[in-house]
Amino acid sequence: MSDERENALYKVVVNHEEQYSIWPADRDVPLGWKETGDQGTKKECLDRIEVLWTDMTPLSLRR
Amino acid sequence: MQNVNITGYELSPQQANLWETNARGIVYGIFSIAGAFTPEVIEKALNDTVDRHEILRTTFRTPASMRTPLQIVHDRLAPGWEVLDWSTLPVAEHATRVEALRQEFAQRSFDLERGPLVRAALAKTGSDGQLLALAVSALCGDADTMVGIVRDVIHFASGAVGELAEDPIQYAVYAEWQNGLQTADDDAGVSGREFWSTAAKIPAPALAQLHGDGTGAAPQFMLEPVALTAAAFKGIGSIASSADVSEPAVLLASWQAVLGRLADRPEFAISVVVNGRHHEDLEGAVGRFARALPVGAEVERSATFADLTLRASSAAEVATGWQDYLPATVEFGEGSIGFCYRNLPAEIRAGGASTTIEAIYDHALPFALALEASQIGESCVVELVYDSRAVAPDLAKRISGYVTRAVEAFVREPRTAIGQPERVDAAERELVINAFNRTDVEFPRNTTIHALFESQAARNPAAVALVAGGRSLTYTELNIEANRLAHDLISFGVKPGDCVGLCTERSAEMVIGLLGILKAGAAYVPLHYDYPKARLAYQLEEARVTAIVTVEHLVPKLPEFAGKIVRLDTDATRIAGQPDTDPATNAGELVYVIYTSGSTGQPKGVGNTHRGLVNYSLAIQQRLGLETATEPLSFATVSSITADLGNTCIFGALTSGGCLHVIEHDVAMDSHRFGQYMAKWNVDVLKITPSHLQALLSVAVSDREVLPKRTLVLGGEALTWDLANRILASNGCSLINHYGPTETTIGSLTYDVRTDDSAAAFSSVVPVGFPIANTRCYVLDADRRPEAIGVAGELYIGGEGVAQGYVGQPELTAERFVADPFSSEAGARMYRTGDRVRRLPSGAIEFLGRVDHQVKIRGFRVELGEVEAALGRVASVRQAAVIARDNSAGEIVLDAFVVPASARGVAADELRAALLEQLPDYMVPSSFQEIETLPLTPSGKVDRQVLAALERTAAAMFSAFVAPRSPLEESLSQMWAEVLRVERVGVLDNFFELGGHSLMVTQVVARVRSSYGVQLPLRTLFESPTVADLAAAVAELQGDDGRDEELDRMLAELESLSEEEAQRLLDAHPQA
Repeated sequence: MSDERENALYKVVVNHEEQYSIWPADRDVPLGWKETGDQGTKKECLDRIEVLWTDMTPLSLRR
Repeated sequence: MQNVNITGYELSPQQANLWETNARGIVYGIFSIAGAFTPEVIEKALNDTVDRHEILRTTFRTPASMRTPLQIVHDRLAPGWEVLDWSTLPVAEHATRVEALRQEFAQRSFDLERGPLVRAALAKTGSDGQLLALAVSALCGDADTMVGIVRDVIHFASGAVGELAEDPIQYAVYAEWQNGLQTADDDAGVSGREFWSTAAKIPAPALAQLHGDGTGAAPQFMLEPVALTAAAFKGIGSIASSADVSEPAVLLASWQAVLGRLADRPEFAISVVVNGRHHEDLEGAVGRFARALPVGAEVERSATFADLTLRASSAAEVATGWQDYLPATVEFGEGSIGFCYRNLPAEIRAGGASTTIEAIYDHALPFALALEASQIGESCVVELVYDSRAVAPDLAKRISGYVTRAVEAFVREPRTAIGQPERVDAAERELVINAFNRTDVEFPRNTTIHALFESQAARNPAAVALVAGGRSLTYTELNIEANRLAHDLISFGVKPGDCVGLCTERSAEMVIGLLGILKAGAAYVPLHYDYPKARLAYQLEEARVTAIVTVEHLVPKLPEFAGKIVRLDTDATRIAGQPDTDPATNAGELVYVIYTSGSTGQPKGVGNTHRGLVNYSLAIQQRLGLETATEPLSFATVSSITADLGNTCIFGALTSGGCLHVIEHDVAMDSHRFGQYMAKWNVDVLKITPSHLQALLSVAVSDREVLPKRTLVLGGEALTWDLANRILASNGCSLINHYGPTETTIGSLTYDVRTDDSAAAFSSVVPVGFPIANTRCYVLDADRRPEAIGVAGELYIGGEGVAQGYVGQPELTAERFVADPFSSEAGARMYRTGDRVRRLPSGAIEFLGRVDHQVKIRGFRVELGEVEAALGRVASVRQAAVIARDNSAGEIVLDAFVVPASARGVAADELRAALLEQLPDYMVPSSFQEIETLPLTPSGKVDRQVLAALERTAAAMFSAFVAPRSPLEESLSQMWAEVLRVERVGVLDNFFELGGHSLMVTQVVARVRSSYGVQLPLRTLFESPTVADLAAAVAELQGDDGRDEELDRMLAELESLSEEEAQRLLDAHPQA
């Protein structure tokens, strides 16, 4: 059940607070999230997020 | 009873099986007969039919010497007969009468010894319409038997006897033949038995907990229609013909797909009922020929319906081929799941008369749940038949819906993966996604947790806020101390958004420190003084800690640190000079960062937010019923703030004007002292882990002694009904089960535990309950779609409690904190807990286990991967695996298996010491075993099941067994064996290496006190962890009748040792 398909494709998504996550590539992105355009295996997507997500403070709280 | 033929025949395998599982089973049917037969003609025809078939005049009697009965054929045995006249009743009434008759026939039992075992009723419905209701004992017939009887009756009634076969096969002959096959030693017999011995090992799909009422000795069968449209049936037909399989195979595959989801296990067997008339001479034969064959299914989610159909078809076909050899002993006991597809004629004709089948029921096999389809001519009726003892009616209704949707998805696109169709329909989806999560409540979203404290301080300035370590502070005093610390920190450059370390014992400084840090706008990072310096250094670096608040004597415990260290004791004068006003500063988003075990080998810091903590604090006040309290309550925390367990009471108290008791470690571990404390202070609310409470209860004089006055909150571990009921039985306090990962801020679900809770009937542990305010819980499958009620899935939690993420670990955060597709709030996130749960019909969540290798030890999260990684870093270790094991007391302990790096091997004490340099003590395994190579699964992962099965020979690795040498050693060794739950303890065996932990130390000390009248300091056992040493210490204390200043001094010195130090000492000198 937990074993997510390690080879399945994901896409990198981001919300209005610039919080990143991964989402199955074949599914519609939930309300309030948009795709960054990056797609790949889970690991590839997470590696990409490590580069993209430099400030974990939500956008509205950054100063 | 005349003319009893004393000849008895053995039961057939089918009958023998029924005799064991449901001897009282009944087969019945309703037929409408067209034609102007008088009741007398039909009665005569029925009698002639009974005369024609021995089995219809058979009874069953068990000779004294036998376990199973013989079947005794009587020369004459008239069937039960009744004539009813409904012709004068309004036609509208007929349906009601038919249903009443059906129920009567379904339930009226037969006298198996005396007979008759055939019963009929003829109801005149109009000028030439009649209904015949017919029932036979299942030992004497099956569905096809009903058709056979009616066919014969019509033949006799219409005088068409000549059309009947001359010598029908008699059942006793068939039984003898079948019994012969059971022991046949030809090739077919041997292969047949071999086939079934394998097939019968596949378990049923474990739907044991379907919330039935569980009452009654005999099955109570109920029916639930499965609504399939004409288009669905047509689709089944066209799939069957295009795949070249039978229609039953298509329905069987759909049923398997549904069960695969319900059972949450991909491989299982269901019982497929076949009519048993696979030989030409058996067609139309009368008797019990039908039987249920276990047919295995592999229902992995990625399989398509088309795959499943082909497999189902061939598995059923193979099983059918071997049916003659199915042993009578393969039982379809209670809880098994059935499938049956009957093909029945639309019409039975003879001599110009015609009869149609209204319905036939064969409820002989005691399935918990079965899908039954009756194809009568062109029309097909599909129903779920369920035993209401095992399955609740509302669940049956939902399962019926799952079957409908599975079939519809299937016929629409046979190449659909079976995991694909939505499990839940719109109504259930609305229930599980929205109705159960209706928790929206207004709350101050943009305030800080310390602002809530400050407003309490303004409201109740003189109320006692804190009692700790002999100090007692009012709200004003606590606020002032915290303000001064905040100004002090600000003066050293601490600013909003910073992280500040907090390293104190459980003391007033702990609370002053955390409030002061928060008031400076920073987040606090709790640092445990007993944790290895390497781990603390990692935390300081990861969280970018800019300052540390501590006390002088703990500074040596800290790793090297370049930032400012504020000592609350030795810097007191300086701090006292700071302003006592609330600092005018904004706070960062984070309120604290708590480190938990990380599966990749390093801990991870969860960054929680003020908003989440404010929401939790207000929500828990509501769950504790504080609005009904007439005055502020007192709360006790007995936990370290390095985990968030104790935060329930800390913030519950400080945001409600209550009094917080911080109970120091030694008091919290000692039942006696703890009970005294609770009594002295009349504590209202206590939060504690079940295992900690259990340890305290096990040595308490009475349960009430250690329980709080008003509400006990248990959390951090699964709560058993045993413990819950014990607490409730004390009549002292109410009980709340509390659940929540650190990632969603302390608690997300709570459950009010009550006596006679109906949930106890079908869950082994107390449910974790319902979401708190502004919290949403989802039970989802691997594709993150809602699971049905009752079905296991992974718990995801959304809402205000969701943490910012793992500090400094964006990739880990992105993996576990994912988009919430169910929230109406755009861009919302939910946390994936890794907990396997299911929903009970009430909506309460029940915890079932983990989906990964995380375990809880005394309330602390432990990732086995982190322990393995730490072992792997020890030079003498090549490879290591760690498993968690339930000891007999229901506590989780860790066992390590180690492949040494060299032939020299590894020493357990060396490993223990090395791990204590890296890990908190609760993460250090209680046993270490050397192993040549780690067993692997076919996919190359460590096979933990094989490891778990290995004999636990760890104790032997440490020291040879030395038997007790004195009565005192003998009785202490006995005591240890009981506490440690091991068979025997040698006098030189190490307490901790036998699985002892600090809670068990408490128990030993308490037992020593009551057995020998001496008060052992807790530290004694840490310092001298063998029976030999303990015996010496006890003897010394007993011999010491006056005050011994030297001893007192030594004990005081030992008292000052931390647990960690004591253990280090002990590791350095195992036999000290």
